[in-house]
Amino acid sequence: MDPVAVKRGGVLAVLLVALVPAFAFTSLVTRLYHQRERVLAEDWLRRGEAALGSGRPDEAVDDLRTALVFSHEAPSFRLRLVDALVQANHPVEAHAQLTTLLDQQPGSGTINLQLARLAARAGDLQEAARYYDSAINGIWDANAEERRRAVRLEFASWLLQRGEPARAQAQLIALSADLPPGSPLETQVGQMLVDAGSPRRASELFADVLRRNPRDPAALEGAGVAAFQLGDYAAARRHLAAAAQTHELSPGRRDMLETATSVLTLNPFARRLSSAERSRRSRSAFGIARARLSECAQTAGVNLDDPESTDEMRALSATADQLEPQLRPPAFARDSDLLDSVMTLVFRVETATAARCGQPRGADLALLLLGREGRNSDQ
Amino acid sequence: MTTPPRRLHIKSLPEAHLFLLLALVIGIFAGLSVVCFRILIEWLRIWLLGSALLPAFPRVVVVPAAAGLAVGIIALALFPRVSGSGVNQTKAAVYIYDGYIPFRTVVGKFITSAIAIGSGQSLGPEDPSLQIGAGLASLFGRKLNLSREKMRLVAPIGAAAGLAAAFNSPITAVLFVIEEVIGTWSAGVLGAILLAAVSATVVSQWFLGGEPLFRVPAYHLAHSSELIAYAILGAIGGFISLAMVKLVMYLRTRLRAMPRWSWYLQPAMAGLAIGIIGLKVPQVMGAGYDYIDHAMREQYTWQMLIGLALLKIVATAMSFSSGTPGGLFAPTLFIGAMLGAAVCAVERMVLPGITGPMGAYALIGMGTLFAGFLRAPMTSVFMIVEISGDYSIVLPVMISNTIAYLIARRFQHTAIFEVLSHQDGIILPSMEEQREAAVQRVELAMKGVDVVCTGADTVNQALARVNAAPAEHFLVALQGDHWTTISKQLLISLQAEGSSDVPLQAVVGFDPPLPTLHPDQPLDAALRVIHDRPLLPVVHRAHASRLVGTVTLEDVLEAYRMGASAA
Repeated sequence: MDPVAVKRGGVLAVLLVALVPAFAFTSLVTRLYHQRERVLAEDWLRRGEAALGSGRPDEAVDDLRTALVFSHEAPSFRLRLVDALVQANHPVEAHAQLTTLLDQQPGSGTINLQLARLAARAGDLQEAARYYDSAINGIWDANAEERRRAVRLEFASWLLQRGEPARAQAQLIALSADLPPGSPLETQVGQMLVDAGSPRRASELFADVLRRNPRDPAALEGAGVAAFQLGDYAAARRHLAAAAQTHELSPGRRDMLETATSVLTLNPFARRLSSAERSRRSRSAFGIARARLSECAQTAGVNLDDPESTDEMRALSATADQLEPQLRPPAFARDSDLLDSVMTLVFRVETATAARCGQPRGADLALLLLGREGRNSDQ
Repeated sequence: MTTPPRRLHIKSLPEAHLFLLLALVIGIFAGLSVVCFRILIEWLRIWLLGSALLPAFPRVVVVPAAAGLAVGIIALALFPRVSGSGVNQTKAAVYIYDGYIPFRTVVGKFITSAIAIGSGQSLGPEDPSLQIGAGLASLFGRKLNLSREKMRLVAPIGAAAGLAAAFNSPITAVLFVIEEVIGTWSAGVLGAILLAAVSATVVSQWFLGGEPLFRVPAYHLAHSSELIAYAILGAIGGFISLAMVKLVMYLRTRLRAMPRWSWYLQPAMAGLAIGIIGLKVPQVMGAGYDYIDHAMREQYTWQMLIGLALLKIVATAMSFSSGTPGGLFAPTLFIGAMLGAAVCAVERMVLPGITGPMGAYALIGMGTLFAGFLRAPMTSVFMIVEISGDYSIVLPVMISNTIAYLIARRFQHTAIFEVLSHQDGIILPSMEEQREAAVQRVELAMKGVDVVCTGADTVNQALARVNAAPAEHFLVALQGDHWTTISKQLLISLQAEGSSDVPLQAVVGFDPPLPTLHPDQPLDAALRVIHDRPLLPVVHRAHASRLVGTVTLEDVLEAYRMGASAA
């Protein structure tokens, strides 16, 4: 036997056998260390969340960074760190952290949403839109449909704040189509549709809500506002009045109700009115417009009695002077065009004074709206 | 009648096979050792400095100093060979000590480096891992009674395994060992090194996970003009590398010139200084990988990045020069990452539209410093590609690394590892010099062909050709692209004997054919085969029958003499 070969065989055998305890020892050491790491990670996470909850985001950032190291960069830890970074106003680092997460989970709804919020905060419309879309279409762990709706709603809200009503409208239309019946978001979406300049869709949404619950305060109010924007003052008054019975309206809504009421009561073109009532309304409108003209001329420094003046208000005043003697009930009965002439003058006065002296209020506003909507505002 | 039991014949395992098996075992043990080493460092860091990323006062000052004192005493009193990074020590084992690394050194390196790095000294674990792996390999090789030649190769195998496990990058480890330690690509050792590195990496990933050292963001070139920025990074990296080398050289020389008793205290003083720096800038303590990650996440301003790079240079120079055991890899990567990120931050202020992610710059910065400071250009390129997992980054890496390497080499001819070995009084072969040494080739020595005979020539015909030529020996071309020689004297003798019409094929056809050379072969290839032959044919590689020249021993020696004179 070759003694060298025997010795080598023996040494190799010893080495191979020694692998077992070596593996066992290393395994033990590693397991103990990983346990310690887990404990430390959880501990620092708790500290970080406590600091975040106590309004100490900078401290939370340090704590959560430490937690992230011990957690071997677990995504959940990184997300908490991102929250802290955002609160501590470190958007660049937050973005870098989220980008890392996105590389690992490109379809994650949560991560895309965080990135969208960062971009929104920075005012980057393109980036925000991209990430919001990705979040809406992304993967969510639980309650995916609800999360997607919430994200879309958030996106639309941000677009409205940014003065992007058209894009907000698109999101809200998609959202309204996706809402299940009875969703608590219906009225909110309706309100936002009104803000986005889509009162008709909002009206349909509110109608659905009111069909299920005719006394829903928010839906009544929203329906009233939508109807007002659509020029359906009768519906607007109806809904707002009903809303007023369920809760106290805000001053703006109260004004809206009053204006709607005024439109309806001042409209001489309303159906099923007697000629006397038409005459009375038109004379009333004439008087209101005349007073508005005088007030606005005084504010604007225009002399309505100056025949040499070429100011529009002077011309309107002259026309009113010519028309005024004719404003008697018999004249209205005889001359079917007189009503149109009077109301045309009234509308011109209200339009001109709105342009010169600002948006009117009360009855003047009602007459202005009446002039814009035509003769279709019915009682 | 029973059959006698057969004798068990233990056949000798061929050493080549034994070597491969050994490489596998070395890789596994090196991997296990490095796993324990890394965990020990982390345990010590948590125990000594606390678990917070930013250690609190007074720990941050007291711990590095106290640990430095302990390390200084232990290293000098018990383990005198543990100082330094470990790379030169492994090279010394290969070239001076026939692959011998005392096991005591391995134990000492393990303990002292762990304490040093864990307590905050600005050093890294990779180089010590390299030496630990090499030391284990040396131990196994000795126990297996390997031949001297194999013993010299076994240490680099362990070194590659240790480095691969520490870095979690087998390709980088293999390339570094080949580029810096053994300087050869011979197939025999390459296979063993690869096997050891891969097995060590597998073991390391088994226990510590396969996560990369850094989470690198996806790389993309924002604009082609961005390559200019990477070139600038390379230039800056080259000069920074130069500064680092000069600082280490200066500081180490000064510290080693001090009385020997001060050597016990130098690691403590370095630790104290680093601790004081760490009060404000704790990022410079330890290996610093977590902070490299932070830099990649754009956590620091450009001013902070530059400050970190500069302070880390100072801290590393102090730690290393004081004799504290530990490596230079991690600090080099740290400095490079900070530098790269700083260049990115500054470029963004000037050219925001064409600047890529900061993580990419930090990554390329790491490679740049690796090439400029450690002077391992090939390793640095593959290291970055391996770490990032993205091949598209190779172009900026190559640009930046090459520039840094050229600048560093232009102003500091001697690489850092060579400088350190010279300071220790050891002359180790410089792999860089070997790579760049001009290779003398056969074409330098070969002479033109005057006369060539063929096997079909008769003696008379041959004599008629060679008579006028001054040479004594001539080539004979035989069938099958074989060559042999014949002397003028032999031809004359054959003619005198009456064999004038005998073809040369019959005279010399049974001689063993001459080995042939090619013009591009190194000159020493000619020396190995010429023996006592009068001359050798130099043939074309594409046409073996086409003779381009001949070479004699005198020609070869003359070429060497001329080469030496030119140098």
